[in-house]
Amino acid sequence: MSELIHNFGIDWKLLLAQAVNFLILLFILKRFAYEPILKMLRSRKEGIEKGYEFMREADERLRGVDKFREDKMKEANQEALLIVKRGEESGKERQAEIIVSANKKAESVMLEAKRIIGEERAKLEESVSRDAEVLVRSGLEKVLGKVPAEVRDKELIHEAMRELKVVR
Amino acid sequence: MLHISIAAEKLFEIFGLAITNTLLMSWITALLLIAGAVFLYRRMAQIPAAFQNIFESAVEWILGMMEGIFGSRQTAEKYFPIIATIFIFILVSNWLGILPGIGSVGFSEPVLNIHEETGHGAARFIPLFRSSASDLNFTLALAILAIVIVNIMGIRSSGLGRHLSRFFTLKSPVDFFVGILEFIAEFAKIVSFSFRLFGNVFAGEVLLAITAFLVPYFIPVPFLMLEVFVGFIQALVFSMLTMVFISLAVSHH
Repeated sequence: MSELIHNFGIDWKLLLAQAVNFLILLFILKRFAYEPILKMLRSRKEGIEKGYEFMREADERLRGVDKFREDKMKEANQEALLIVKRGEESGKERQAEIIVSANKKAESVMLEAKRIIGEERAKLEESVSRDAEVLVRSGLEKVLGKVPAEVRDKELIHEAMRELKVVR
Repeated sequence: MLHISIAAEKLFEIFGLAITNTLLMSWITALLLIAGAVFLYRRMAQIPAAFQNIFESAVEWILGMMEGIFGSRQTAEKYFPIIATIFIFILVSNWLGILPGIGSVGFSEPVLNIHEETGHGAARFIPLFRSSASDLNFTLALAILAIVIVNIMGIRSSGLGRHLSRFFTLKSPVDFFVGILEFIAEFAKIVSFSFRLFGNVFAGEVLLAITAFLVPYFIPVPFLMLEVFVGFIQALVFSMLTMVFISLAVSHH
């Protein structure tokens, strides 16, 4: 056994030295490499996760904004169409109204004209018939030389005039 | 003629401590790693630069493996420093050991015992550096530390009494003998840990020395590549086994 140990060069002092060497290395690497690196990895992972989450959220929100804009556009489009349509309709209505009112006015004007014409004609006829009465009376007077009983004459003339009117 | 020594060569002595070339090498390895760590610490940034990137990928890779064995990221991070240090220390020392020229720097030491046939004292070449793991002291120290740490973790996680009851129990005769076997197995682990690493690295050294001695050009190249691979695999095996032992020790039955 001791020969074996000798052949392999085993020396407890060397063993201890190697072990201490390893432990020192372990301690220093832990202090200066592993712990900072692990901390860094963890914090970076968190950062990336946060960033990813943020990105997803932003993406979602952006999509929402897009949709909102699209909706608004559609709405505005529809509204515009509606306004144009309404304008057209009201224009048409207005047109119809104007036409109707113009027609009415024209009609009323025509009626008024007709009325006036009628009145004028009535007046004319009256004056004509009065004139005619006077004329006929004076004619008769001239022809007969005498003035017939006024009342009867008048009646006769009126009758004649009525007849005349009816005939005409 | 090619000289191969199983034991590490002694360079000089300080206060009764024989400084061997392998001990020197493991100091250099440790110093390089510490320098790297301090460099990393100083330049640590949220957005990593090249060096930090390499280290971070290594950390993520080891953590990924540990997560597979321990089951959760949190537990993996808890035992990460030990496993990572074992892995990186062995890996870097293995790779430094096969760095070309490492074994060529040294000095000649006159051998005191006279050669039997010629009667002349021959000079012996002593390399200044030698792969740390080609010395059983290095691997044995790591193995003992690993097993001690495994048991400390076991005690921490389930208490001294419960941990010891894995080895010493009077519940039943079968458990008693299984416990004894488990206890012996702890020492077997130390032996297998240390000799596996030592054997592989030492064999690699010898293989490289012999191929370089026989055919100095071109032929050693594939062997060098093989040794790069072996150096990595041995570091991985050592740390993976430690990982498994820790996970067994901290699990509650």
